[in-house]
Formats: sequence, C-alpha cells, structure tokens
Amino acid sequence: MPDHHSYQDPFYGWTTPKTISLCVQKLKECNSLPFQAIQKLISMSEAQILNEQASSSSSSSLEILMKFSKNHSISIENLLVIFNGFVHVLRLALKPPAAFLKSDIFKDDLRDLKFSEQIIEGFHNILFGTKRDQLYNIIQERDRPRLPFLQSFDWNLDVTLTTASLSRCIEPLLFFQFHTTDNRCLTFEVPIKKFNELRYNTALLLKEMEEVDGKQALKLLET
Amino acid sequence: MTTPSQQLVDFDWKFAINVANSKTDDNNGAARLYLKLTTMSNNGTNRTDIPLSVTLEQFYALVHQLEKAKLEMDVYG
Repeated sequence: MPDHHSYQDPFYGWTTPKTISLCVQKLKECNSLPFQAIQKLISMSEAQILNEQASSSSSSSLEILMKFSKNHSISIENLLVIFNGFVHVLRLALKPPAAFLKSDIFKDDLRDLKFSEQIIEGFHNILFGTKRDQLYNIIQERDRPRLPFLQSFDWNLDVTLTTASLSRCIEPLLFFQFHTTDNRCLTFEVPIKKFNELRYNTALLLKEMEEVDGKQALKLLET
Repeated sequence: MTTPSQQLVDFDWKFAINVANSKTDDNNGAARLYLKLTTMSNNGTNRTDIPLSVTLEQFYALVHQLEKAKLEMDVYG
C-alpha cells in the first residue's frame, strides 16, 4: 500500500507552519495541563470558527483562557499560543475542498505534526462530526471579502394621469426599492424601456449560468 | 421657522394611480401624488431637489396647511 505522502501533500502545506510548531512545543512544555482543559480548548477553537457566542457559559473565550491560566498555573501567553495553534489547524484542514480531506490521511498528517493521539481524536471528531457541513458553509459564505447583499426588492407600478405640465398623459410609472444588508434603501424610477432591457439581461444571465454549469473545466475533480 | 439659506424655486407634481404592487394587493387603486420641490440657496449656487411621494390624505392635509397660511397672509397683505 503506497504511502500517501508520495501522492498527496499534507493538509497543512509543504512545511509545518510556525503557529503549529510553536503550539506543539508549548504543549510539551505545559504537560501539567489536563486533557479536559485541552478538550475545552479544542471545542473553543471550533466555536471560534463558527463565531458562536458561548451561550451556556456567559464568558468570552478570553475569560475562559484566563481562568485556565489561573487554575493550572500556566502563563496566559502559552495558552494563547496553544489555542491559536488549534484554530490554525482547523482552518488549514477546512481549506481544501470537503472531498479531498480523507480521515486516515488527516490523522496521519496530524501524527507527523507530533500531536498526541487524544488531540488527534478530538480534531477528527470536530471535522467529521455533526457540525461538519456548518463549518464548511461558514468558511464558504462568511470568511471572504464580500459586498453588501440585496435583502429585499419591492416594486410599484402606477399610472400617471396628470402632471403639472400635461393635463392628460396616461403613462405607466415603475418604481424599484432595494434594501441592502448595510441598511441602505435605494429607491429609483425605471423607464419602461430600461425595464425591458432588464428582463432581457436577466434571461441572458440565466442562460449563461446554465452554460457555465455544463462546462467540464469547472467541475470538481474527485480523487 | 425661517430657513434663510434655502428658498423654494419650483414645485412640480405628478398625479398617479397605483395599478400593481409587489407587496399585498390591498393597495390597488390607491391614488398618489409625486411632488418634487426644488430649492435654491440664497446666492443662487446650490439647487437641491426634494422628491416626495404623498398619499391623498397627506396631500389634503398639506393643502389645508397651505390654505391656512394663505388666509393669514391675505389678512396682513
């Protein structure tokens, strides 16, 4: 059975990132830290990525780290390095597409990084556990630079009967109102000619989207 | 309540009937007035347009206030 090192790079890249090597080094130094605390740190790093507020305990992650540092008499800097290393491992693991990360290869790579078996189990449970889809979703949707979204779109069709200058002009009048996620409300009038152009462009866009879906080059290569 | 910086220069209006709506249909047939007030600053540099859209009741309230103001002006004029 060929070693996976021959055909696949480890998930963390060509060289061990400094964050992770520092984390492992600190873990070895602070071996007074019980595994339960490590477990809590791992679940906190998952919550960090999901950006959940810890609703059960009403303390932020920094307060939990301060509590650990007091209870187990380890300096807060060491704890921060360890926590940072955990979050980094999770982020690197979530970087390749979901199908590329196989669980035994992932565990092997973690062993190469010199993490202990319990920690490897903990990481494995997070990445292949219940929150897996949610984690990938968050990385896809939230953690990249994006413009504000269109939240709601209302339109209003009126018929103009009279104006100040014309006394009998039966003319359609179309208004659009866009609400965006950054609380802007954009209201504008649309001449009927532009509205027909908008309809044409929407139909063209839908057709192009379907064509792009069919192109071979954009399909994901599943190993 | 005087605003010495801006003066009303133009008052343009448009009267329309609502035919269709993306929200619920209970607003069909409601009449609406679209006003555009143009103000200009005193030294004639800045023209600002103020577009408004008022329902009929709001417009009647506005006309009522304007007529009250006109009556007062006629007393002293």
